[in-house]
Amino acid sequence: MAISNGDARTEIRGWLKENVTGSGEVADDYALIENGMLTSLQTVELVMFMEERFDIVVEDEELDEENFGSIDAIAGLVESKAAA
Amino acid sequence: MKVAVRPHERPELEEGVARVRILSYPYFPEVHDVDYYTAFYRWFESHPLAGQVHRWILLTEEDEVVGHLAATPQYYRINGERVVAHTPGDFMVLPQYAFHALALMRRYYRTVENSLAVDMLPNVIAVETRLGAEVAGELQYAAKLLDVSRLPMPNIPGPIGRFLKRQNRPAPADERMDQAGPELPSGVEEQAAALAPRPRAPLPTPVKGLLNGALRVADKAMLGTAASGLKAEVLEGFDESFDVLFEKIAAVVPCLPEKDAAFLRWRYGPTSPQTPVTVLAVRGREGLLGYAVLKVTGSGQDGYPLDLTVLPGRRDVARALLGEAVRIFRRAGVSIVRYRYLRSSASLGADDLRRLGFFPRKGRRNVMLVKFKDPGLHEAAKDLSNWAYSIGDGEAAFWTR
Repeated sequence: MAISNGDARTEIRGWLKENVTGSGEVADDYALIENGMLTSLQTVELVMFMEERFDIVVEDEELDEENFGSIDAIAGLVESKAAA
Repeated sequence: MKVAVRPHERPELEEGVARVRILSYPYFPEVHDVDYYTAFYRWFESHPLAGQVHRWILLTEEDEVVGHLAATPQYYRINGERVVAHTPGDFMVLPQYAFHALALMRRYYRTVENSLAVDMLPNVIAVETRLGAEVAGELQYAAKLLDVSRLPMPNIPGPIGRFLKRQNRPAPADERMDQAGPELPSGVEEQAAALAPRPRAPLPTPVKGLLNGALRVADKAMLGTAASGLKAEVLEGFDESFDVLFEKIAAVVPCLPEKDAAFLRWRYGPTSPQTPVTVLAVRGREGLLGYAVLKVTGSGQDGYPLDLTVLPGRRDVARALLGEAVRIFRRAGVSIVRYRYLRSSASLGADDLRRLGFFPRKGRRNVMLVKFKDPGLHEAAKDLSNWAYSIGDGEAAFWTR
């Protein structure tokens, strides 16, 4: 399944707005973890959303700051998984 | 700031762990008692599996501890096989590093071969299930009121209510507790409630006296009706008959912690965090028929049956033990008995509890989660009906004081 980085970015941005930030906007390069925005549980829920929405499987070892540090990073992970 | 999971091997960082505990549980004054936690880990050094205890910390680049997780091992008997499984505990992460809680828990599941957790917090349960643990089911929770002194006054309409309210106007600070608080770990709710001011005015003394008198009379009647002629006696310790009882139960029940006499001596002995406890037993011609381990909290207000185990099918023995437990808790001045248990052939049924005046509580129940490497063992362990388990058997009750 081909997913463009733009699609993934839009979907993730929407999920974060609905589940984490509320009405607040978050820049794509905003440090989600460094700024304490994304908790473990929210990450778990985000992963479940990503797996269902993009038909991918996120491995446990991929659940780190590098892959979930920003919307850009998460979108990059989705894109690379979908392309694999 | 970069954060990494590291094995907790540097004693000088223990102070940092204590700081995280205090900051993580600001509503729980006991966490300031650093010696308690030091004694807890020292106690575990006397366990036969002490070499398999793991502790990890979340450490920043500046050597600051921002999280902690321990893994404590125990022996279980699953399908007749002796198996070691770990339980996660003493799990805490500072709020600004909350994402990294996942890394700690992931390290736990990657390290241990088998896991059995008895948790209450939905967030923790969600993370555990995400990392491969499976929910076996919920433990039961029942409570019995012995003394109404801690109860707030109910809303009584009309002149009587107005009169009582005038007599017991609450202090403004008490209103803080009316607000919904955070989800608390197992046991915290009760202990926080015992320490914190009550949300509403207490019952007036004459009403309290009347209600407590009525409770005593009702109890006498209920305990009398439930009596089966079996006598529960207080024991000084755990002798070899506990080995025999355990093997009889393990021959029938597929999944259970290995609770032989040696384990029980360690679990409830003089260095245990739950000491002192009261041990009750019922004996018959065929030997030990069942036992109970009772704990009164430090505040003296809550009574916990930490363990109540009987020969499978001997609910009469279980009723005799719990009936005697209620008498002992009453004599100790306990206000409420809180019983968390798993319904099994080696424990009580819901009917037995009702007959003894316990009422079921739907909230604040513990969930058992399992993950065993061997598929056959996992299959057996994930079926709650295969288990005999008491709350005192593992980590969930290690922090009850």
